Amino acid sequence: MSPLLRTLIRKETSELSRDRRVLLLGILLPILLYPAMMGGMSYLDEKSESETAARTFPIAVTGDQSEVLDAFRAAEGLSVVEDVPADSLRAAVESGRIELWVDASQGWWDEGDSDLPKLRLLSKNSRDNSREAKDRAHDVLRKVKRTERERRYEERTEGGQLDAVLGHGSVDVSSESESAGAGASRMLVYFLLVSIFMGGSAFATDMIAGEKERQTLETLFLIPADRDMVARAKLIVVSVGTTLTGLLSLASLAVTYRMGWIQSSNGPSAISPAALGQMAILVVPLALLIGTILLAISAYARSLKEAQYYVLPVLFALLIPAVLSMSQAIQLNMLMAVVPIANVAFAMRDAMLGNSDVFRLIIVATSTLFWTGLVLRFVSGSLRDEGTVLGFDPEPVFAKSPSGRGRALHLSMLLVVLAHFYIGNLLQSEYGIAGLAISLWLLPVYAIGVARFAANGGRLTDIFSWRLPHPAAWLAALLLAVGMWLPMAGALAPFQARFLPMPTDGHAAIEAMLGAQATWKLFSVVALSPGIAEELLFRGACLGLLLRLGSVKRAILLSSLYFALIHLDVFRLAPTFLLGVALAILVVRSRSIFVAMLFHVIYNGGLLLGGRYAETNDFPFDPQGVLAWSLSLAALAGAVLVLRSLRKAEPDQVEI
Amino acid sequence: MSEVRIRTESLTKMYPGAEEDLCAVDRVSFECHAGEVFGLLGLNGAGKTTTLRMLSTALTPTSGTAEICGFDVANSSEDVRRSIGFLSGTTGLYHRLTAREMVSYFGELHGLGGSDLKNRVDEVLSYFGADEYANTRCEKLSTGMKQKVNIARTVVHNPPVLILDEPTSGLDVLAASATVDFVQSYRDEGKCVLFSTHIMSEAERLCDRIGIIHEGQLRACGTLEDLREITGQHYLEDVFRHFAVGEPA
Repeated sequence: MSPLLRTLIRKETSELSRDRRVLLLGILLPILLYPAMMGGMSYLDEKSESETAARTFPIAVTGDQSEVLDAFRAAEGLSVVEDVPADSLRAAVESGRIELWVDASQGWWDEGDSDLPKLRLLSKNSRDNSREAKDRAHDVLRKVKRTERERRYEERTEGGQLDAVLGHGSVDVSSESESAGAGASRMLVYFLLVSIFMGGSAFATDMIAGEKERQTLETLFLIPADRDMVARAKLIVVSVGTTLTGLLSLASLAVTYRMGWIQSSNGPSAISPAALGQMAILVVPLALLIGTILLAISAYARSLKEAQYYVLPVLFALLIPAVLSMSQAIQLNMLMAVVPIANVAFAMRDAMLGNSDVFRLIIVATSTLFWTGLVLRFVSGSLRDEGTVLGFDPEPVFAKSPSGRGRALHLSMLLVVLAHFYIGNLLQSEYGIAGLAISLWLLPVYAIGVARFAANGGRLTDIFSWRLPHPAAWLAALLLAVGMWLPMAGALAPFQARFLPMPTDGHAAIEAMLGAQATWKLFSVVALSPGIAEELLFRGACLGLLLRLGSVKRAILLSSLYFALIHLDVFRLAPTFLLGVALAILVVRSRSIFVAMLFHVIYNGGLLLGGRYAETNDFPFDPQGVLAWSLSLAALAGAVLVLRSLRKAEPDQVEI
Repeated sequence: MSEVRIRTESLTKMYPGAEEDLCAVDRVSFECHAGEVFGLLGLNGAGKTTTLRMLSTALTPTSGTAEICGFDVANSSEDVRRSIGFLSGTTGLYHRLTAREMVSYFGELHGLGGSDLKNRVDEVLSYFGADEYANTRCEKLSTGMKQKVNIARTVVHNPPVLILDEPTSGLDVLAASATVDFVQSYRDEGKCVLFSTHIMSEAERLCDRIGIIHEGQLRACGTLEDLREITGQHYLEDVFRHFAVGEPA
């Protein structure tokens, strides 16, 4: 560690150690949270239960079934009152004068055993006492029923015993620690997250936003070091702080269980040391991510007060994925393992339930560190931003500068993704395949909107690469489309099925909508329409504008990412992204959108027609065999050769 | 002529606008020498602070060049930062650090250590009379005391160039006077001081040469005598009005 970094860290630590908010939120809160909350709740529950058990509730019983009336009169904890007029019994329940009215005056059941009375229990369930009285009345009635059943059984079987027919009992095979883990897993991650976040907010919000407010940040930027080092030092201090808060919180939970302040169904119990160890390991990346997010808030805000405004909404946003882990029905699969916050929440839950998997733990930790890195990049970028020094953003959000145009483009593309999701779903649910076609043909409208909003001059035809290509480019598109069928369908799909299988109901929904359609209709909706409409948006407006704002590689990757996102299906992210890259390269090399349109139609159409053909016919050769792969690879090689040759034919070709 | 410590050549700063860009500093060129106090005089929003922030490397010039002690602000920013002390009237202190810790911290960040650091911190605190409250947390200091600690923090690494952006704004008479005295003594040590202000009396008292900046442009540059001669005005306020707004006195 460089002496400069050490100095920065020492100063930050020294300042934090003198901040009472850090002491309160970062140390005392996590230590006291569980004992105070769980112990307090446990104490209150026990007290409430014992008080309720000792209480007698006034009830009224009407009707002429003497055995019912006698049973209620003899019941403990219920006192039958006689002085309430019959026409005001309901009002008496509502007002709380009595807690329950057992109405047995409704007559007798008509069918079967005609000697059974109709019973109605009137309670006010919004009142605890009334609910408790109803429960006790149920117990009384159960006893009456059982006694009656035993009497009848004895009569019919001439002295037989009902219990001798069928007895049952239950055995819970969960260990004590698993029972404790099952109980804790429902709420633990939620509280752990709150505790780390609150502690971290005490560490982090002041670190950059506070410095901006006190105008010390500019001075700090004038030391002979890179601003990244300042960010790194702050991140180290915040991360250590949030990790400490998380570990304290975890230790507090373990102690709370160990001391028996939390009762499980099996009595006092403790979470297993193995589960605690795994959770302690998971706390580290989680604390790193939360610390970095808080630092990002601090870097984004212009003052401490502004940062504090953001803290609560961000906390709520982070709790949403964590809350998912409260349900044991949702599993930690490969997809969930890369969703930030949710992945750690699920892994902690599984650790407590004794279901952990080392491979998934590694994925969870690695992906959390990846997200941390992304957020840290934002922090570093914010510190480099001139607005941090100036105290205001010198540039309007959608300025005519490259960064302003970039913001306009990304915002409009994200809006398009959302609009396509909502409008597309609405149209498809109302009109089926016709709705799908309409939603696709809205994309060119969005494309023109995006280009008008985010462009900085220039003709639309130039942005959209609306020009005829060199003849060889048509051949490249054809070869590339044909060559990609097998790798995409034969190699990528099985690979994806192994790591991210599409749910069967997802397949079924698509089949239900498309399966019964005529081939020509399907071709026009899944090949021709996307081949034209999607190309106008993604390779036309999006790629065309991105090429004017930054590097070619970045433009290809970002436009492909939007192309993958608009399919709004995590199970198709990888194939659509790869397809987007191939299409973008075609347009960049040929400078013509028509080539991409040809590719897209042939690619989608080929998969569709191939699939339809295979439903009723055998292929003349093995579609996964050596011959098929050889032809595929030859087509791909041919496409690459033609694309390379385009550079000579078109001297101003972009190099990628 | 003594050694050139600050040199700017067509220094320009543009901020992108929604429709058209805003030019905060427009092709400003000047030089400052060792043993000289150069005053940058201008109204609020004239471009003084932006110019000084570009020189301190806090902002990046849109075009043009600037050098501090021969180091280019764009390409050798760390060397530039090592060579300067920067202070503005609004710069704050770390409230939970003591005055001594504050000064020591910046000394360490500029590469001082061990006994050198301790001696230098004692020296600067004593120079500004801040040793009495050296172990008091900055949050408890008065405005004048804070400014003294701030100046001590700025010069703890003994930089050859001092850049002061309206360092007396918001200070009472005594604190402002102490700041002015310090600038004079620093100049007498052979250091270069670039000083921005809109207070004419300060500029008149302190500056060896004056640059008048208005709407981002350096309208005039020279000694007070030179400027008086050009404008035919005696008082600096009248000289300033002549160059800035073209008004006769």
